[in-house]
Amino acid sequence: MNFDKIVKRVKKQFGTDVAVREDERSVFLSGECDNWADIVAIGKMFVTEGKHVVNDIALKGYLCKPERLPQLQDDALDGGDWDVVIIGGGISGCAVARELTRYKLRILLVEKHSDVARGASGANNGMVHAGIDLKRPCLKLKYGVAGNAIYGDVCRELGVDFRRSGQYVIFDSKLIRFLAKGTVKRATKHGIPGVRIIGKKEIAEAEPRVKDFAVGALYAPSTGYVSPYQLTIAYAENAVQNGATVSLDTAVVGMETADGKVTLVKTNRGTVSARCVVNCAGVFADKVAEMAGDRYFSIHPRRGTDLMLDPKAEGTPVQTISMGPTLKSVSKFGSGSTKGGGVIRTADGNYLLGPDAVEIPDREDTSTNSQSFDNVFGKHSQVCPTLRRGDVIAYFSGVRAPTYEEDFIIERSAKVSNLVHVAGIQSPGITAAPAFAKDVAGIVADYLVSVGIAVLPNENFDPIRPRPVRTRELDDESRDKLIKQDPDFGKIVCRCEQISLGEIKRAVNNPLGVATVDGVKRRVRAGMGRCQGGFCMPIVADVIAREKGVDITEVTKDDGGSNIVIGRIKEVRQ
Amino acid sequence: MKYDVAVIGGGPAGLAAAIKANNEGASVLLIEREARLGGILKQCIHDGFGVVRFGQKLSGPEYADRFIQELRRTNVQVSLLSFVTRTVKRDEGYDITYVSAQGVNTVHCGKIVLATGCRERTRNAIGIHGDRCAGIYTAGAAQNLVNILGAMPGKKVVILGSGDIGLIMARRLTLEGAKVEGVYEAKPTPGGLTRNIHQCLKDFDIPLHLSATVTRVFGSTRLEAVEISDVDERMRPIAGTQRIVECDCLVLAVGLIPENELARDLGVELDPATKGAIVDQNCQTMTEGIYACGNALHVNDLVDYVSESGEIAGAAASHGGKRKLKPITPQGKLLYVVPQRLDVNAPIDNVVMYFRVSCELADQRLTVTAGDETVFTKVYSKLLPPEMERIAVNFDKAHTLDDFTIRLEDK
Amino acid sequence: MELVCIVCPNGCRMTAERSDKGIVVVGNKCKRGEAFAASELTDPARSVTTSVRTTVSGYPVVSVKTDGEIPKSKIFALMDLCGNITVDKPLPIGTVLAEDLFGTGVNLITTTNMEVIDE
Repeated sequence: MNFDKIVKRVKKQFGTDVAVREDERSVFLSGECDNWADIVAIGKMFVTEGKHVVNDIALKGYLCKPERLPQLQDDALDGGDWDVVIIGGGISGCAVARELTRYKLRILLVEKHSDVARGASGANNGMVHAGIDLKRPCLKLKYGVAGNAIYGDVCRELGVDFRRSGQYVIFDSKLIRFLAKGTVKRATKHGIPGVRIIGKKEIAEAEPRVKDFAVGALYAPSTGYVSPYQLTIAYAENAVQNGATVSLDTAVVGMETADGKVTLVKTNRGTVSARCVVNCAGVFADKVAEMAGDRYFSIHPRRGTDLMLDPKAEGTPVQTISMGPTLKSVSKFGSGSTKGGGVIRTADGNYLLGPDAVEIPDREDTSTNSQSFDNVFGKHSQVCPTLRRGDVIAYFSGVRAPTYEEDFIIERSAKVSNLVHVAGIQSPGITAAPAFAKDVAGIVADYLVSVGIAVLPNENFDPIRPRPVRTRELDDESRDKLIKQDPDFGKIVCRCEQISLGEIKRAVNNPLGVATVDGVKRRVRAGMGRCQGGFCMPIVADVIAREKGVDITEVTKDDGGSNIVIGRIKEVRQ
Repeated sequence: MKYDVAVIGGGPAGLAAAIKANNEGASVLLIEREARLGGILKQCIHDGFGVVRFGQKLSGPEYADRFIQELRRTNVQVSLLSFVTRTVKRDEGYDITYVSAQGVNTVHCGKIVLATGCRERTRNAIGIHGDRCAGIYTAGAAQNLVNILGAMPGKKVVILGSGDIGLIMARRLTLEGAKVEGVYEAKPTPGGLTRNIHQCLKDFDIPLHLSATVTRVFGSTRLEAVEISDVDERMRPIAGTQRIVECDCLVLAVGLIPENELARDLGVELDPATKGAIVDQNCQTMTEGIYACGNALHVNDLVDYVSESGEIAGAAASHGGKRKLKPITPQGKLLYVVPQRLDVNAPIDNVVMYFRVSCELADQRLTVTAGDETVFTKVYSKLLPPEMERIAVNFDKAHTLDDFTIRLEDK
Repeated sequence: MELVCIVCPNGCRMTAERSDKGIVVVGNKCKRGEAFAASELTDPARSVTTSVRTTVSGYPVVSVKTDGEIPKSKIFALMDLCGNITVDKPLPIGTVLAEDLFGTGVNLITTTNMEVIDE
């Protein structure tokens, strides 16, 4: 294809000279530019049907921070021989691992952080999308709709809360409401159930807070809400229950290939061999592909910030609501790089505002800043004018991992035959994962069979991962009974979320072996409430130390090196 | 089980309330969340407690111990490691359900005294941005780590907030060998008591930086540095004043908020100025039979007054009668006044009132009136925001028991 | 010399000057301020509160204090001394752990009642 015209346009628009090269799979860009947003915009200009963009345009003067790697160095995995090595413990990797345990295979999942769900899977709003924003057939649509349909079943099996309570996109003008008819038609064609436009009266009943300005809303009843990190954890735990090995603090640092296959995967914990490798590395998916000599797409990190509201704040809405396009922004309807978020009522009953979408060069920069905070609050509080800034009790950022084509890549590599890519997974990745994980497991199994490896069903596969006990949800009688069995369930440690010592002890002794303060927080919400761990963090750290028989100085917040304390008192003074 | 009075919270306010209610003849249940009585005093090992009450400088645990020993001589039932999960209004009084290691228990009580203390404002509440790393703690959490668990939260410490807790922690960490790089305060005046500025900071050459705050934190695993910015008079960071201070620990002493989860559940009306309940002079809230005292009512700076309000609540909860409430309207430069109502059916000859100002003021006159009659007046040469003031007013001689105001104005 | 009295929470701002008749203090609201100012000028002293380690279950440390004032210059020497003390059994509040600190007649005492905790 001739890219001369685009090259000229880039020169004219951005003043940047882009060199273009292409092969059968990709368009490769190189050059230099002094603005990251421009680099991303240029990359998008080269998106063409049937090809991926690899964008090597460098940001002038930018020193990329080295990838964060675990401090741990040992040979715990060295010499291991696995049928499947999955790289990355986000929702994709954990779901794929779990689906693969339906077969009798030796499965290793490696995750560089000290827990699963530490990337985008742990820092998104947990919306299980209906798929109303997707305009044309693509993998996002295919797996998004399929994933949404099976969500209830999957969460029931894995003991994770899921609430299908729908979403409302509010319209403030009749024209937009009229135009939305096209969206309904499209959604119906795409197999999204129940999408309809509701009138002024109905929306005012469903969500009284918008009655002053809403003339109607688009209602998608299949939208649901899940705790994305709890689902990821549940997938990983169920995979372990069914025989997979999850190795945390384990980063892939290199690969060896021979005859168009990955033969060895090198990590900070030793080198392992693998029949098949699944790349679920999120924002590092293109880097992992590169290690295998298979670089044919680029990930451009896109950060999103969400604000968490005090659940007791007055002025939070009843439903999940977002502002639909206004007359001004009508041209952008459904085409933006985020679905726009809104005020989201999470699976835990909290409220989140957000997210926004900011292109950033650093794949691991999950820091927050006041600009994003202001943008998110300013934009999403419009739909709910009663909200106040003081109602925000926490905020966090996650980095999405989109490709320039803005679609998932779920396929076995055309070049490296035993490498399966699960890349470019971004929204609606949480929604789609249960569906695509089944397909990925199928791709892996088919491949293994094709190279003469027997793939037999795992007769011991148990799809059920028991739901953790939550004492605050029990009625008095059951709670009393539980406490009589184990008095620790009667001792409340986290006062904001009412989490008992018993729950915390169970969380500390989880199947993945994660014994960190944030690990406990993700599993049982201790420290997630209004005081943000001010009261319970020291106690949780102490419980971890006791349960694991280590000194409190060894207890970490999260990854290795994030120790809560730096020593004992009296020892700091020499 | 049935009790006349249930006191929720076994810190200084709850201890005083329980003892007082018992001594006034009530049957009392004291419900405490933790394994030991004393509340936050357990970790406040510094001295300065009890000067008003005992004329002595006691440490927090010593102050608490005096009340704990006194409590043991009463008939108060104490339930430790007990967490109230539900309160339900009945025709007569309330049902309280709590969980403990023994199971789920529901008791009936005539009155409830809320002595639930306060909680700290967090990093997020004040809008600090940046990385999510270990080493950032509220002063209370840091104090717990050091004084209860015997562990050091950091070696190079920055403290944000010059309230007493921040100052006390600066000294405490210095004594244990940490280097406190500085105490930063966004306001133009220090938040803590003057004596603490001297004995905690000046004694140890710890710098205090006013009108400056932490605007960003850096660190991949543990905190590595903070960004400090000067702020303008509206406490907004001034562009171009940023500087980086290396540290491995940031202690946040950025304010306390009365803990009122239970009060909210009970539908108790709160005062936006104090963030605690609206009460009459007997610490009874606008909900009949619910009392609030100590830091759950408003954040105090002296524990002596916390105990005092506990005693007022405890005494009143063991008697009580039909109320006739009149508002006390604050006027002028007062941040808040407690109580906000006067029960003119109850004794009004010794009404203890607490107030705070929002900025430093000199040469002020405080006037309390009933109708157009002045019932109390006092001149202050200086009033400081960190220092809560206490007065005792006799309304007995007022001719009209209505239109109560409390006013602060230039002398 | 300008001083702030640290004896009580009032924190009186005072000036203290040496003169022929001894030390003249202005600004104090009570007699304790005068005594404080005198000692600040001659030999500043402080009470110290800290903690010592224990081997008792539920008490990684126990709070302690000096039962009077010690010279300001000895504060860190006291901290070192506390670092060498380990309490090995539950002690009642007020137990003397070290007597006559630095020859001042002041003792180091515990300030927490170490009761057995039901955890």
